[in-house]
Amino acid sequence: MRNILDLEGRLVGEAPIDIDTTRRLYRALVETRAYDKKGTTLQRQGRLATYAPLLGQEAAQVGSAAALDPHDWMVATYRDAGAMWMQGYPWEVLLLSRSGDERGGRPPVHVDVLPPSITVGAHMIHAVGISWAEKLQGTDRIAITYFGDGATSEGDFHEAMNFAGVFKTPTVFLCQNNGYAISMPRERQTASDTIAQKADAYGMVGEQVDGNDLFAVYASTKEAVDRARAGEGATLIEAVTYRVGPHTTNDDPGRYRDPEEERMALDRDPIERVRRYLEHEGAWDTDWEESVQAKASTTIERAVELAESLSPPSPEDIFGAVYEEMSPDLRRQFEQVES
Amino acid sequence: MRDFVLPDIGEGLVEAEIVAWLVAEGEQVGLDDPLVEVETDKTVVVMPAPVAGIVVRHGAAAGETIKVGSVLAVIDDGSEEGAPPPAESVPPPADDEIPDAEVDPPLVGSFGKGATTLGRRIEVVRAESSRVLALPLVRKLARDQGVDLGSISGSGSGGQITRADIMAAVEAKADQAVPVAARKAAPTVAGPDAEVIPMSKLRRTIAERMSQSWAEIPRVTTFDEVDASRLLQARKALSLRHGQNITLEALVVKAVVPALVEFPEFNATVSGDDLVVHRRHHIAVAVDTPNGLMIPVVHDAGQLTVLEIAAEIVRLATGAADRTLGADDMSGGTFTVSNIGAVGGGHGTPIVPLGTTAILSVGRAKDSAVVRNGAVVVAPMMPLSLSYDHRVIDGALGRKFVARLLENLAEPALFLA
Repeated sequence: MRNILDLEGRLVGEAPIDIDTTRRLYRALVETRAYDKKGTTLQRQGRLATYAPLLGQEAAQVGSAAALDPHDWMVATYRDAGAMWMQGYPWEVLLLSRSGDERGGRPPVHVDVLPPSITVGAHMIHAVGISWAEKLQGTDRIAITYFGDGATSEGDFHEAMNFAGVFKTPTVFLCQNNGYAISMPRERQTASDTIAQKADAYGMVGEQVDGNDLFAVYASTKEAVDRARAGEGATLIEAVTYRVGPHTTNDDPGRYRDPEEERMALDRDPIERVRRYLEHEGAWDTDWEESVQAKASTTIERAVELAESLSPPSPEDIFGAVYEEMSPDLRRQFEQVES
Repeated sequence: MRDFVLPDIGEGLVEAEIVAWLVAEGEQVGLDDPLVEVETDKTVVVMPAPVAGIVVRHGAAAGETIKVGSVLAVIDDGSEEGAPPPAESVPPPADDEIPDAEVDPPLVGSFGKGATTLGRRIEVVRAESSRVLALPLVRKLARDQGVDLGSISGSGSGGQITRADIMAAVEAKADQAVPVAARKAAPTVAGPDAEVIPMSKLRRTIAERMSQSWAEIPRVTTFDEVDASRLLQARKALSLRHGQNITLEALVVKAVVPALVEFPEFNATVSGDDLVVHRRHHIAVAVDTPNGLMIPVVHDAGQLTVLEIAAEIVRLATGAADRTLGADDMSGGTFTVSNIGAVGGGHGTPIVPLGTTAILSVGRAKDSAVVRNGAVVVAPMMPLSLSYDHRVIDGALGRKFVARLLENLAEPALFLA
């Protein structure tokens, strides 16, 4: 498993980014966590629908997204707000996507990030298709797709990987192996030693990295992105992380895993690791930390305010969101609601 | 002042139990700080305060159950009563411009002040207050019943209009002395040999409830008889001792409670996929009045002596006849006793009242020839008919309940002790 920063925040390899960039990514990690914490809180207050926390997976998301170009495609899931925001999806639109508002699926026009996929696995195929289209058009744009360990058991995973392998599409498969598919532990998900080794079967490069190591994730993804852009095909990255929170706000992990496991995960905290590194490098102090935390909190509160200041969606927004033209059945239902 | 309403924090949650208050009434709470622990059917959840301020009131005490949509806590955040939530006070941005969220340019993306999509696509206005919330089915019901949704206020979560609200509105309309015949879709046809008598409000209510029970509750009735000689003796002795007429009904109510304690399924309410078992025993007693059947309720019968039950039944029966009973006296029954024997009845097939699972009908005791130890003896046999909701009570359980009841009625010492 690839590692660059150890648990104490000391380099065991070469840092792939400079201190300034690391400080910026540290801000992003903190802001992502602030959003995530707020997401759970808002759900408890009845202001968001079911929320799927990403707590503990910040480095896997921020580190990988940081390796992309702004015009690269991203096709991710309901637990990938950190990565999506990095690629330009505004926090307030992400909040809308969790409040049953179709407008949450419409980022600004220049942001080439698809709405979060709720269906497990189906979106990987979209990423392959998009990147194939870019390849056929001769652009240098690639597509990255995020999914979890559970998604690798879906048939879609095979289809996407196989197609990407055969057509050498410029795709990066970023698997966040967070240990659980709802309550199903990784050990029961696949008999493979690693998820990364599945790449062999599809004739592509596979690499397992410490998903809580910002530098390792960044380095691995950067290499995969460069390969894709150079026409060398797809890569499967297995970022080994840990889902510290529940599957969603409607789940109680106490029923299927030992709380001790969650406490142990704290030692692997991805943000604390970067903080220690910055401290070792003399690039961190408490004043700066306070300003980073305050900034993150203000930004997220503003996003909440903005999302909540919108008028509720109209029935037309909801019924008209999927089809260019409503089916007769859908239209009948729509008219019933309107009447 | 802000009401924090219990949201559906699960997926389809209807209620939750308060485990512990983390901030007492009168104390300060910060924004998003832990306020209260509630237990849902899945897990215990800490609820964070939606605003900072003084916790003025807890909506329910620890141990109590609270419905989704009801007030969990009232927090004084300095805003005036009924003031719009802070989110609505954000001034709407200009038409074609993203609000200045002072977002740093993202690290690699390019969402910033220049982006306009959000501002253009999303109309930013204050939340409408006149918006009617109702499910499509409820809207259809309202149309069918000729109810204007705008004219009624919803009792559901977030002011949503429910089926019950529509039906209540329909009933309220019917109360406005509209002749029954006029309300019917098809005019009542009566030949010269018939007379049309509009049904009274009470009669219409009875009719509606009977139909609903008949349609909803698959009931079965089990018949039995009990030797009432000791029961009648006890009744006579008690009446003489206390100089008060102890009705047979009072004794039956008293005898039923221990059986309900033992078989709680008979003291319950079917609610969707749940059976709500009631801890207290509110025994409804059927009363024949000049206007029709009424079933007032002896509340907490398990806590009352036979004398108290007897006095309460007298009060209820008188009040029912005078139409002076309050809503409290008329509602909340968890089991029903119908003393059809008072008007000479024998066995019957009573209809289970809505919201309960069983009803016991007691007939008049009558001297009968009974074979006992190989000899024919005469004993006052009292007919019992128990109807119950077969969805939640199996036949065997029904028999067990009746057996315990027979035992008690045959030997009053068992339940009077």
